[in-house]
Amino acid sequence: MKIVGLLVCVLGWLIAVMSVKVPGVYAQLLVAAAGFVVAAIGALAILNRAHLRDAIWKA
Amino acid sequence: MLIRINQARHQLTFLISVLLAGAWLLPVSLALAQAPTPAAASSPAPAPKPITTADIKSISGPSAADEAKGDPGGTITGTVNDIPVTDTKVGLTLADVVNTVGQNRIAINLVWTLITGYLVMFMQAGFAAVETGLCRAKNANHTFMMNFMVYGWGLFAYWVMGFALQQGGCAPNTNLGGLSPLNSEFTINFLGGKPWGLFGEKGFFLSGPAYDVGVMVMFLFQMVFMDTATTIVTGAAAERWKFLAFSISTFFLGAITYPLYGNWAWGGGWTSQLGANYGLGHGYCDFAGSGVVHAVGGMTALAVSMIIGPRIGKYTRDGKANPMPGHDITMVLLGCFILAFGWFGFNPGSTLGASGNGNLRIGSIAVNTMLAGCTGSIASLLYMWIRFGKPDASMAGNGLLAGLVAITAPSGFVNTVGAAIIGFFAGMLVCLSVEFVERVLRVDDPVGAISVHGTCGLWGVISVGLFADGTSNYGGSWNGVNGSVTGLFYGDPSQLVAQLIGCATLMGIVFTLSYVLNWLVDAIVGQRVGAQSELEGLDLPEMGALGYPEFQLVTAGLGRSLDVTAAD
Repeated sequence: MKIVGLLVCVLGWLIAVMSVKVPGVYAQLLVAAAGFVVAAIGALAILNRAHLRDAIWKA
Repeated sequence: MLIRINQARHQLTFLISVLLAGAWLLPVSLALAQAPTPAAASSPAPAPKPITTADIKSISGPSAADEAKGDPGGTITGTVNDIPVTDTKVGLTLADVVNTVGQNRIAINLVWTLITGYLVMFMQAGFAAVETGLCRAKNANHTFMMNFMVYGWGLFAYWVMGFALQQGGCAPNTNLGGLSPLNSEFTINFLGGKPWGLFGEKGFFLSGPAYDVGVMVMFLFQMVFMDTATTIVTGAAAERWKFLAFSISTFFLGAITYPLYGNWAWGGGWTSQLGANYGLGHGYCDFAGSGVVHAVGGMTALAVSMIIGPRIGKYTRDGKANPMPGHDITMVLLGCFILAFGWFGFNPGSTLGASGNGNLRIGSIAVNTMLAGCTGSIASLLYMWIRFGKPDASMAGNGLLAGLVAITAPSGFVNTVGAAIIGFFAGMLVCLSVEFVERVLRVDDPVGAISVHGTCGLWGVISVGLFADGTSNYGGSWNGVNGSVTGLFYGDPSQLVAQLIGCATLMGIVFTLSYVLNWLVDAIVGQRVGAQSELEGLDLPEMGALGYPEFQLVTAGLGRSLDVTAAD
């Protein structure tokens, strides 16, 4: 799951970068913002949750 | 009676209307009274006569006899006599004068950049004080030493390879004499065949052509910025980070992670060229490093904190967070003041000069910096006061830092109103983020580094795309795009797109790279100290000496440091 989280992070970056190819500046804004959110989900939700599974305070 | 009340109401309404009209008319009339009268049309000025060497030779300076009398008023010091002459047989020429003007401009810029760089270096003391004060006393030596040695490890890594990767292709730079030796950038063609700069290739060990007066100044200034990024991580991982793992991790950050993003933003790399290549404003704009320095540090801090795990006792078995207060709040607030002082070097110094190319904006940048820090601390103070009933000192300090972090990217592009808003919002944001990181993410961060630098650094990057007001002029262009940096609120939404791509790069690439490198460090040497060392305090097990050897340090229920009195 940690690797999935990291891959989702990178995917989010790719989505944001692809915004340069989207027509219309407001559509670009949406795609770039969506990319940032996807990257954040990868780090804060997927990767972090994988770490919390075996957190020290659960021992 | 009713008629009299209505009459009185009408009279009052009339009086208020008169007063309001007068209040509006008075300043308008004063402004008109002060408006200059238009000048009468005059005859065209005669064409200027070119200056020649003959004109220069006719200028005479004070005689040796006059100079020997002394100059208490400074009226005969700094004259034509002080201009270096290339050929004494020929004497003073126009070329000598012009070259001196050029050299003076570069000298002003070099001195400015160096002095502001020294201020940023002094911020290391501020960070050390803030972090040590927010940690428990049994870890004081270890925490302070990490902040002390980021200077050593970081500087070494940056000298070996970091500076070259970051700035190896940044030439030309007209403020610092050109920096012409730094003229090689590794580039690929991507997304529509556009050139994407990835890293520099000149300047390793500052040797060869990089042994240059301008390059040396650039190195010093960029190095102290890198050091700020590396020190951020020590706060988030404090109280359980092995000193060996810290040392290796810092080297990686100074040699690889930071320089890569720094190249993309400041070294002519791909994010800075989003404007030139794809029409997105002026490309990713980050005046002094909310993204490059603070968010890079924050993302790395997040990665290390996840890998290393929380301190023993931070969370109960059901995931509830326990407070672990620091041991010296006075040290924390003193550290915040030192940081605020150093920030006068951080932001205004990022013009890399005080002469030419719009650099007289340094005063505006300094005021923006002060204002944002001020409103940040006010916002945090009010938030904590209203929410919890007391004006919390540590969050007021973090609020100051949050405002300063957030204004770092937009400081050169916004006005004072924008700066105040950016800082205020950062002060609120840092309080919310600290709670989110601690209670929702359950990531332990003893000093709030992830929130102050990561969250507020990202906010600073975004705020460029919102608040840049289009009045700055640093030589007529920025990142190779003519005109002034302008944000959404002043008419250019495409700038915000570039900033969001920068944020996604920080979250998607920088965080991932930091995580992978630190996962490697964990696999090879282990990031975290053993439980016994952590409970005892890291000073003795890791550093061999207590920070406060005259005190026996006890943490209720969690362990104590060595009982030194028993040995006496």
